[in-house]
Amino acid sequence: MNASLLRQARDTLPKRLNAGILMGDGGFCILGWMLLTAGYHPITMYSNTIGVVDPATGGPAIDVVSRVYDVDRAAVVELARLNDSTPRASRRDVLRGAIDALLEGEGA
Amino acid sequence: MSTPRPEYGAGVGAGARTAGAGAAGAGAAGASGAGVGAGAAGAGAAGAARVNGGQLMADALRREGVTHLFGLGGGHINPTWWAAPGAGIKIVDVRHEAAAAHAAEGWSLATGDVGVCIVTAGPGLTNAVTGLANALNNGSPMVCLAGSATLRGQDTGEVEMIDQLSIAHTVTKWARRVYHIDRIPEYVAMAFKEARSGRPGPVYLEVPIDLIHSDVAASDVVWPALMAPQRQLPSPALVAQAAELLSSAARPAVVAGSGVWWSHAAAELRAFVEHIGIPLVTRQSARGTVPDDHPLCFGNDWQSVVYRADTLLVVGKQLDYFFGYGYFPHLEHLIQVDVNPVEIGRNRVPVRVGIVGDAGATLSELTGAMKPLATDEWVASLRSAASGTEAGKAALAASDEAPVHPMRVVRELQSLLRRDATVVADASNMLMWANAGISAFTGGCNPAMSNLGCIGHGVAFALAAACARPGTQVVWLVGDGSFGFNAMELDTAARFGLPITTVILNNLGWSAQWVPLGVRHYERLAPGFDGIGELVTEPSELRPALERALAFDGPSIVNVLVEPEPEYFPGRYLG
Repeated sequence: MNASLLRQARDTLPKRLNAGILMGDGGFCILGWMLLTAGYHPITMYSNTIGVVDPATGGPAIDVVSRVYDVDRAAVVELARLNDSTPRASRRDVLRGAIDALLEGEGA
Repeated sequence: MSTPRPEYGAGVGAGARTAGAGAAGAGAAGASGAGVGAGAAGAGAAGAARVNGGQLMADALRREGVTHLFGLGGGHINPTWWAAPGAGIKIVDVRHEAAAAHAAEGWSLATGDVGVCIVTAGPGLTNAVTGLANALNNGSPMVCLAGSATLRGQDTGEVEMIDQLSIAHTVTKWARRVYHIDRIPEYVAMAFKEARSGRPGPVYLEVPIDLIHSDVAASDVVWPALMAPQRQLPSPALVAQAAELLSSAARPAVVAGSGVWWSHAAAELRAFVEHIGIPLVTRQSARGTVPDDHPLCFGNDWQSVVYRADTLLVVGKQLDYFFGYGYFPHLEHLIQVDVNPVEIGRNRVPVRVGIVGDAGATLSELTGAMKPLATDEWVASLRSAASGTEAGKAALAASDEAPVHPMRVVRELQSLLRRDATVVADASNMLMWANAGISAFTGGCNPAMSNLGCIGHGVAFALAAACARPGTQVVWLVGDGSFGFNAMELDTAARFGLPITTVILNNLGWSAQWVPLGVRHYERLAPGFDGIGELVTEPSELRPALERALAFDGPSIVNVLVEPEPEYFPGRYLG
């Protein structure tokens, strides 16, 4: 796990997280934010719901986040599921807690 | 083949035209093969007749089948402007040259044939540049005619003089200047061939003002032969390889792109997917060539299909930004068909079989080479995933909250449209909602933006669609930011009696950039153009307003205040 990068994503979470879209209408979902934190340009995610559009390091968003953060794919799927199933008002806090749990699980 | 040529009377100077040979010439375009040199035969009465550059240009255009010319007048192009109506060409004069160029592309997107615009010298051409660039990125065939400064006055500081050719070279696939008046028909024929050939695209042809105003003996003009478009056939060996890979795949799928539209291959595409039983997504100009509600069609949601497939047949679709650059490492095999060999394996994508050939011709060959596949379970799994996505969309579309959710706007609109309605979705964030909520049922009815990233061009596409398909519904779906670019073209719609319905998803700013615009009453522009306009702030107001707008015989604007930070529908990125 790239704990340093994961902590950075957690500590800089925006006030609002979107559901269901990597980037659009002025915001990101948790995966979009993690990708942005990892250095992916918004244009690789713009108006995109599944994949990261990059000719060298793109692909399905779940897989790219899993690879870049060195986190199990299942854990990334869980983050995405949690993002989309949580009401907007509490989404940021819930996701922050989920990342905390990931880091604690690794002893990071 | 014989090549009809216009006949000119003995009028002097202005090129008085006595016979409507243009219409006859246009008919000849349906013939096949390349006639050679047949245009030299002169009409008996033409010896004493003289014809000016504008008349030659208009007749040459009509010979190519042109019926509409989108443009904005100027002294450098007056002779063509004046001659076009007499040649049977309707001039649609717009309010800015950008719209002229966009409308010419819009014509090609709506019809599959070459659209034409005409602009004057200097700023006329520079204003049109974005439209040309968009068509270049889209691969849309169009011809841009331009006036230019005099040949004699080059480098003298003459008005409206700029190196237009150099500018045009960067945004077209072919750019030329005519130096001799008698060669105007020849260059027009070249321009149309270039626009249609290979990967289609925009071309540029300029005629200096001193040339277009001059005249020539009609008998000195040699009219070139017309040549019908021909389909490039694929290699039988490569077709066999592709058929074998597709036949052995567990989860094959097809992605159809604009090449299908330019090949006029809707029937071949549908026959192929139905014969094989292979699921399909349509992208860009291929939207609607197989209707979205076809059992094997999954609309434009390419990611949901592509990331689940193991073997992909990509037909006439660039491996570009709109298609993940073709970077799909999970695939076992990628088979690509394109009329342009340069497109095969773009971005170093490992294409297993690359077929250079016309989309329609290749699909026909593949249909003949393959037996139906057992894809029921595979298609059912895709349909199940799509149903989940649809449920999420439906929930958003049912929202009764104000400001109105954008998904509600596009779905209410969709429910009021006929299957042959044109919906021009402009660009930027608004496009996400259009892509998610607007279906395509007929080819050419959902003209797409290019990866150039233009905004505000949609009204010009709508103008062209309304001209090409009179009597059908035409909707310009646009954000409040983009609306400002070419809103004055609603005046063009009014002057030409084109009932374009404008629906603004107004989220009060440039939301992708977090730049506010505030509440603006764009709907109040409509009465100024003899149209109707309404502001919608509550969901309950939406449907009646859309109904009134769609029923109005003229330009209408429905300005809908939408949720600036809307929720999206969940789950698609779970793959």
